[in-house]
Amino acid sequence: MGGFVPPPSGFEVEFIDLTLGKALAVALLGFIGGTLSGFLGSGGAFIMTPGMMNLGVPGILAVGSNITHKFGKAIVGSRSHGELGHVDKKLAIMMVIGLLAGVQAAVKVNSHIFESMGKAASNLYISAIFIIVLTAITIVIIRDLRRGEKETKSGSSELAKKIQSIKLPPMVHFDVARITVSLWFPLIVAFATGYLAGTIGVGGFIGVPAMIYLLGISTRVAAGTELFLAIFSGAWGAINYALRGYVDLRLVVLLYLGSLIGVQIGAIATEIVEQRVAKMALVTVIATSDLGRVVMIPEYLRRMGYISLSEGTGHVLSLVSMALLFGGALLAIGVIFKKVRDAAAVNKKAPTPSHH
Amino acid sequence: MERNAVVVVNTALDAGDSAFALEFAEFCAEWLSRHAKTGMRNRATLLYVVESAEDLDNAKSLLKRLAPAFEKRDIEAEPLVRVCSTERLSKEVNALKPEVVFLTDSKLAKHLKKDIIGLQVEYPNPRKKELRVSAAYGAAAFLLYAAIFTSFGVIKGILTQKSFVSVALILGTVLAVAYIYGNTIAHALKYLGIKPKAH
Repeated sequence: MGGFVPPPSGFEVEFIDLTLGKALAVALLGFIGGTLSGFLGSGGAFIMTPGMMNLGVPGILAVGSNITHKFGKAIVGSRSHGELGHVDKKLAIMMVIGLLAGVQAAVKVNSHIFESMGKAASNLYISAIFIIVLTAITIVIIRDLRRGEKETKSGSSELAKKIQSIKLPPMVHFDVARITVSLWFPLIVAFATGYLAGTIGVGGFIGVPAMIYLLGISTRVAAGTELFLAIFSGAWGAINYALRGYVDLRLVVLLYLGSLIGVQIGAIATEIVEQRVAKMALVTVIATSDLGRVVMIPEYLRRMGYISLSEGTGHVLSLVSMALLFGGALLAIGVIFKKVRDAAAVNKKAPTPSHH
Repeated sequence: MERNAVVVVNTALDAGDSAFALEFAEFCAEWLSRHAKTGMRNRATLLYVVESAEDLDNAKSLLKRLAPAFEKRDIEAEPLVRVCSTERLSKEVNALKPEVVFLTDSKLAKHLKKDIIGLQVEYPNPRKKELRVSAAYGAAAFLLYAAIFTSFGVIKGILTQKSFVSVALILGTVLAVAYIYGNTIAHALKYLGIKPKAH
């Protein structure tokens, strides 16, 4: 960090003109993202980053602000999170190296694209990564829903066994995670998690399943270790983006305004809504967010001068993208709330004493 | 030796929260056990005044739920439901000739205090404290947000310096907001009787 040199001034980032409407929309994004994150364990970034981009925030600023928002939440949340007791410290320390390298690489690539090619190219790059990741996750969840959980779990543990059988030195045993694996695999998983966290702000959603399915770590230890790692990836990402001027403090605090309420509502809903509904809500959000990014690709290409489209068409595409993103998220949250309301209605049938 | 106590259940129901009545019963039973001399027998009358006979069943059902808190501490618990106006509540309490009267810090309890006999033991509703703490954190969060948005011109100047000062400003502010606003939400949830979840 000591050797940091400010980037050469090519394209400079512009903070958006934050009207009351936009401020409320960012707080709403925080609420939706927080609810989904509380309900599903993670995944708020699927909504928050693309949502801010839809509001005109440059992609790199949306990622920088979102990763900073995640950092504060991780620090405050970790104070009382029981899962921190399930951290495999040896694994976590080794993974931190790969994770920080991944975040650093992502920030450098993101910054380089923005500074040398401009906002549209940067938005195109971030959207492309989003599309790849979200499409892959959508396919996996749909397959999971169609197959049923048991089959998926047994298939995944086979993959973990194959990876553990590759004796590429140095082989390391992790006591808490109860695995012996070549050090290279946790490092690769950590680097990929860090790279995605640094590029699009989605880390845990990839890191936890990767640790479970690729390394064969139990869900509890994977979740606890990821929570520990999230503090580092969040802090490192926030520091690096802030040093380059890619964090808008207003957006971060507005995200908190909604997300800290949403996360509690989402967590309460997990006790009421069954797993299958949760997965369907998740896949709805991810697929619509994915489509929202796909729709924006021609607009970014137009802005870069690669294709010719009228400005009106570009405006329509932006509106469609925003409608997909908010529509999918609100639909998913609507389903969650309906389930919670139904459960509350059933509980109400039990007799309660009158009060004075 | 027997000690006669009266638990004025109505005072625990002002907030419309039956869970608080259970907490109140636990407190009363615990207090009686803790303050009992050797050989002393405690007897607690759980008094609930209802204004309409239609509420009798609900009242009895509530008192039945409160009684185990006493019984598990070997305290004889006698549920007593009276149908009359709450204006007569103090008279009903005094008629039982209590040595100890348990009340909460509700409005009704404050109104009763001056009219009843016996040692008065007050159970303050812990949720009210949560509301006060939440409001204090909320006020601090409001000031912090107001400061960020009203002085963003100055903040923007620091942020665009791309220095360690801007990093410190961002991380410090983010942690302060997450902590202060997070506590506003956490204490508000506790006031509502919901255990906040860490995430």
